Amino acid sequence: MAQISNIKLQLGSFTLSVDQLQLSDTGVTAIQGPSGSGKTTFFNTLIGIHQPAGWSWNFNGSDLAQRKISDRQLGVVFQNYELFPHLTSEENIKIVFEARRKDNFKSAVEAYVEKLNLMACWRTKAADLSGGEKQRVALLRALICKPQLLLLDEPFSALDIATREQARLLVKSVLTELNIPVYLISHDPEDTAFLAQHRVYIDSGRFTLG
Amino acid sequence: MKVSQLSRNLFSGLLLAFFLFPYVSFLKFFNWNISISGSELVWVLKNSFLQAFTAAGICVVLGFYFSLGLFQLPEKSRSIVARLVLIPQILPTLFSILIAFSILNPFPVGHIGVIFIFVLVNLGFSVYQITQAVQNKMGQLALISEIYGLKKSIFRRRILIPIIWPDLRLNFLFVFLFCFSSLSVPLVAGGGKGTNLEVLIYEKIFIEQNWDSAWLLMLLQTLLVFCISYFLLKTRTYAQRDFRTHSYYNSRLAAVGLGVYIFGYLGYYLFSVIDAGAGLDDVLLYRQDILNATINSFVVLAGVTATCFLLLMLWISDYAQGLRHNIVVHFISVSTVMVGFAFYIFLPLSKRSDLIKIPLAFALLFFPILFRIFFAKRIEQLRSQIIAAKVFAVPLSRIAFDIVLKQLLKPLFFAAVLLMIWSLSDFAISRSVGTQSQTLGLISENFLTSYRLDAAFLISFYILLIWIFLTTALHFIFKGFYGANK
Repeated sequence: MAQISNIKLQLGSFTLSVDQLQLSDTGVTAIQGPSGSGKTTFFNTLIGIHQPAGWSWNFNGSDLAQRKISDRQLGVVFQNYELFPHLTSEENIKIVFEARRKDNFKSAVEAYVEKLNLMACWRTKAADLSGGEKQRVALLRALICKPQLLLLDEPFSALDIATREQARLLVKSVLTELNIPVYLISHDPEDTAFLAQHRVYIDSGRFTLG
Repeated sequence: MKVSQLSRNLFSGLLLAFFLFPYVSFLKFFNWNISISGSELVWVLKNSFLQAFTAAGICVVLGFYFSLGLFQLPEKSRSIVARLVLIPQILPTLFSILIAFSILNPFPVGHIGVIFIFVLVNLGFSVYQITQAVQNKMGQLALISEIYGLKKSIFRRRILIPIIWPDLRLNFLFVFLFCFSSLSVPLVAGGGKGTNLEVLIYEKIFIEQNWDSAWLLMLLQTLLVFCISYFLLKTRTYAQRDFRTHSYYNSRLAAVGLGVYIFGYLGYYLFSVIDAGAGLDDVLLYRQDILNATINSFVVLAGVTATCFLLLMLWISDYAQGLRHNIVVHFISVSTVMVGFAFYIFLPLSKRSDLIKIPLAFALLFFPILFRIFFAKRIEQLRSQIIAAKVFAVPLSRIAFDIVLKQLLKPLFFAAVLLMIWSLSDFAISRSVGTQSQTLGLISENFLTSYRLDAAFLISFYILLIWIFLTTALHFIFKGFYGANK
């Protein structure tokens, strides 16, 4: 189990307070809660946007809170995907790959391109991709550097209903195959019911048993 | 034809006639047999390009670097400094010329001097515009880059610069056009070697009286500006996103550079004015001239304010009827001299007509800029209110005054504030209409060109004091209005 403790974060009138929280280090853990409950603030703390004093995050035997953001070995998919708009799908993946890995890009990426159905948009600039394509490129970018943990922030919310169902299926099959632990933030109960094996609930900045 | 259609045509026609008047007036000089010296043309084009290209290049490169200094600052101070850096661009060039002459003493008249002043004036604007571009375009890309282990240098080279590249080009274009069509700076700081196209046109008109050649040169300048704009603006931009600041944008050294630039600019001015205080008695010898110039400047200011207000009301009425901006919103006046000269030839040369010519020329040159900065978007935002009012058959005059204008009081105030300082300290436009009268801007320029820097500083400070006084008075007038309308 991963253990997060001692988060005290004051943002205006909102306080995120986590004394002790245990999250599974396998499978998909959904972090659920109503709007304004603190899901995104918690997510932003994990990826390093907020840095509360004295907090700790023990994961796989090391304290990630003490590590630099770039050394936490995280994969992240944001709600709006945050792709580099001027680069093609391939370049978006390659720039991250080259920062993290030294092996052959083409052979590392080949299977995923097919699995995630990215062949048609591989040479298209990110700014010109459809919502579903952006989501798949962002997922591949997160997975290609072999993260020890994948963080997904409302990854399906920008998609229409038809695309969303396809995307859920695809994400589930990839995650099952790769067996990477995932923290999934979503306000959509269908996302969590479909993907998550574990759940935690947050309300007014505090985690509850649900 | 219905009455409303007639009045709409009238409003549109008046606006078009006023703003296109300088262009049309030059048809009078159209002549197939115009001769112009090729070597002179090449020389002056080389000068124009050299000055504008170098200054724009320096501004964009330094502007990008200094914008990293702006991100180094805490958010509150960042927004204050981001406004401070605009001061050199907002203040009339007279102030920057004075500061440049006091920083570089003896001043290197010629290309170096001209480029130095251009950079001094435009650098802050570049910093501001590039910072805005970063904030609008970059979203959380710096954070995502750090999460995935991209180094700061790679992020800046492969992500940041390519994404804001269209904005850098746009910024280059703005500065380039500002410099390319500048009259005041090369006129004062260019000397014989630094003559640009605009100054050559000025000389053709007022020194050689060679109006045919002047016309051809103006046509050439207009075409060049349009071609350059077309190619530089032909580029794609990326969608706006919510920005999150990040250490990858920061640079301490750049923050120091930015501080030196802006506080040096303001500091030099203040210290120079304090130093110049010792020469106050010499300046007071000209008190009668200064008094006359003050009266003239006030009359000009009243004239230009009234003209601009009339233009604004015409524009609002035209918009309210057609529900789109008049085509002259795309009008960019590329040549101060061209506008000045149009009034020079069509109105008599006398002190009395100066007080008509100068305000009209100011209005023609300043109104489009002020309109774009303060009014164009806001009027568009009121479109649905205007439609609703029209559905209820509210008369046009009430739509213009009670619905649109009353919601434009804040931008109206800021536009008036800028209009005041630009009008009070102008000398280039006044010269290009061939003025026979003295204004405060012209007096200050006369002192400057005769190397009586102290006197020039004191007059500029006098202008500043008048401007502060008028701004304060205007503030209370608007406050009364706004309070009443609340």
